Amino acid sequence: MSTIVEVRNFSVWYGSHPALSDITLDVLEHEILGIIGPAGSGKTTFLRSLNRLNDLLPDFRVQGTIQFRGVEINRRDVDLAVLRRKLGMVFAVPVPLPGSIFENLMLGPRLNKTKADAGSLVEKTLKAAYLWDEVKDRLHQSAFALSGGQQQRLCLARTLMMEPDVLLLDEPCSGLDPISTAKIEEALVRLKRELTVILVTNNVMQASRVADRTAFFLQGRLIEYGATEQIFVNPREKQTHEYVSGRFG
Amino acid sequence: MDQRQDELLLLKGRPRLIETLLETAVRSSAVIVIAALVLIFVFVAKEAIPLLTSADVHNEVTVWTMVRPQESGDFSWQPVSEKPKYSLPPLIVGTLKVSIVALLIAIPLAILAAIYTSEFAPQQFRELLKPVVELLAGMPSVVIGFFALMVVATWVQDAFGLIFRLNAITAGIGLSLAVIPIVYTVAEDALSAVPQAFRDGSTALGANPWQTAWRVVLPAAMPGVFAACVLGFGRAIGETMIVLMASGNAAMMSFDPAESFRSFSATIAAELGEVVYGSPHYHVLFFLGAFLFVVTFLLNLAAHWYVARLRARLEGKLK
Amino acid sequence: MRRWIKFVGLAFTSLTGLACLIIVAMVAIILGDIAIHAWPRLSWEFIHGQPRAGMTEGGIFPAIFGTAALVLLMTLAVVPLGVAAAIYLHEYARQGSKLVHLVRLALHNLAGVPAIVFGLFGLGFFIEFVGAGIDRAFYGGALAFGQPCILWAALTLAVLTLPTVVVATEEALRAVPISYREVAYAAGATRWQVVQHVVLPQSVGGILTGTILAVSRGAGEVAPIMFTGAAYYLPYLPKKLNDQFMELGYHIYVLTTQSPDVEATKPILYATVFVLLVLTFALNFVAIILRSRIRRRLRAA
Repeated sequence: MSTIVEVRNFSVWYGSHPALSDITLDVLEHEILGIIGPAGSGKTTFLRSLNRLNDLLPDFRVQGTIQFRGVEINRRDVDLAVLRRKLGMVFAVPVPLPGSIFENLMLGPRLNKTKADAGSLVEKTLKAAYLWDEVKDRLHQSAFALSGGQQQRLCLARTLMMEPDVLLLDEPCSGLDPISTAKIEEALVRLKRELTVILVTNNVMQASRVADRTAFFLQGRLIEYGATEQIFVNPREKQTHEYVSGRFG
Repeated sequence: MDQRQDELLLLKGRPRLIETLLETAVRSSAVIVIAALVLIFVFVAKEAIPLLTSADVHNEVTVWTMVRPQESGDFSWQPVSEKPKYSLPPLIVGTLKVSIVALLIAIPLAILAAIYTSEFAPQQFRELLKPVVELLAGMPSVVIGFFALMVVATWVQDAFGLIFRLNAITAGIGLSLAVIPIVYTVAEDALSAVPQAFRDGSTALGANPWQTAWRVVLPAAMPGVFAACVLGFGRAIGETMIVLMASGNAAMMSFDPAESFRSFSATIAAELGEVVYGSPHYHVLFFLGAFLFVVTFLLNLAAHWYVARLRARLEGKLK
Repeated sequence: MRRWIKFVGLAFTSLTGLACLIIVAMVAIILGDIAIHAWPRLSWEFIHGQPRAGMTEGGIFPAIFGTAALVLLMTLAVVPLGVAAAIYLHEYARQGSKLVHLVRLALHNLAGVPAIVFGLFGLGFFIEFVGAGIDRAFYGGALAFGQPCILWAALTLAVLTLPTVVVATEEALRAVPISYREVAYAAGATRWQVVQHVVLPQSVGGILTGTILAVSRGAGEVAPIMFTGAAYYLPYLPKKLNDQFMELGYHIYVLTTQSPDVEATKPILYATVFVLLVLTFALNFVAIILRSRIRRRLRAA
């Protein structure tokens, strides 16, 4: 499997506060990379650096390189709109936008002016998100009428509508019931055939269920990463071992 | 997807034209806001400057002649007469007279009402009073002036047995109606901004609600309450229609509130319609306007500063 | 001792409550007095008809029309400008930048400028400078726009009501959750697309509130239009931008202070005041309701 995202010596500062220090890792195509670590370890910052969503924050500074398919994404002439379509993000809290389910799905196509061709994708993405059966008869009802788990699956489908190469998920199942969580996990496993998944999760067990490889972040540093089984059963670092066995977190 | 295709897609070379245009458009709007304020000052001052610089105008009037007593020893404002007389003291006294009357009525009422609303009132009453004050704020000043002239003047004259029907008391009562909403709103915001922790702490020490309000909340909010008074004062001296209609428009120099008077703004409004463009009188009126602008600008800055102090104090104390 | 404190406390509390009642009473008395005196004179003909017999009979339709036209022109000028400025302040500008600070200071001060100074500004800038300039450039010096007319009066009012629109719009923009914007950005939206597709549609209520408040203010202010275009009696309705116009507030002022026969014009005067009051109150009332709905949404966000 080839590398799709290459991170080298990447550091991030908010003002003078270092959020990430010297991160180096590779993301392989068609894998599910899990990112685990306690709160404040920089997981979300790292994820948001991949689609440059951190640019929205004031006082934000980076150093190092991130390459997506060989192109350095922190260059000034990168088209952020294209980048963010190729690396689509699903947020921790489901955020349905005001409007119908259909209108929510059409967000990406509307912004990128590809509305005409997108209609056919609706069924495909809803099925990939395991939501089609539940909403196929009420696509024009308000998205707010859905339950929390359904809304999050809708957000997943909405992101898939842009046909991204990489899915960035930031603790997508926090606060969801176990059935919705299971559906989303199943969707991710299916989806990795077509794209790459980077999954930030505060639920260590979820990483062990779903991720092919896992990276452990602590206080802004990448402590260790490798095959999931190795991380959980035979970690190299002591801190990794303590975290995955629940000694702290 | 080979590397070159990705590169072409990702790199756009320069930002899209439409985005830059739109950003320029909204930024220009913000600049226009600043420009508006600057232009107001510039174009009012522009017509006032000849009063300071032009020899022609100086034949008739200078700033100095407007301030010092005239030949007969008194101060008289009679720009439309054979020998035009311009004198500022009657206008200053008139403006202050009516403002003081208005503030004496408005400030106690508004601040007490603000205290009631933020400290004692049940929720429903709060929901009732705020819209009433907003409606009062929305009442056009010409309507208040009308009411003052038609109704209040008669009451006041009958109640106090005054000679002049239109005077500083009548106009002051009308003016207070315009000042109350401003003082109330800013004071109530200041009082509400005092953190609940202050009140809880005081109650925990055994104080009842009024002691808490009087000794803890009000002192804490004092900069904001003071700002409210400053803003009220600024509103009072700048208000035009109410004074124009209810003051009697007699530019007499008198400290007696029961006599007719003239204020700065009313003078401008009353005389600008018939003044000859470019005449000394014209320039003097613009001078009055520039003066008003500067004074209210300074008062606004002062109020702004006090509110900033309030915020700093409340946050500082919490930390 | 404790009883004394309690007594003072009760007196103080009642005093503050009394202050509230007095304020409410003041408003009620004014409304009541005007309504009572105006009632006999109100009729469809009053709203619809022209003034007759030296303003002692007939209707005030030209004043109503003039006010509406004035306010419409003002809205066309102030709403785009105010909304754009608010969008800049909230969506584009770097918070804490110098420009933002200056704009807010300017808005604050604009709101405190006396109304008559706006009148002087209208005269000195729009009429004497811009209008005269237009006359020189396009009309060969003939008097077309260098005189009081509805265009300049409307623009003067637009500057006066600018802070109202900006503040109300900003409040609406703030009520849109940040998460909505993030979702749009993450979907590849440019800054303007975020504004266009997500923020503005959600802010319509607040923009409407600001517009209504501005309209209410513009319909009520007389000092700025006294010398920039309002007239007491015109035999025609304003049709061109450089026509003068009749206006409710100005009408009230002239009728109150310069009527040759106060008793005869009193009924029409009261009725005119009533119409203006009802108009401004209705507008304010709608705006207040709209705004409380927005504030409730802001608190929930």
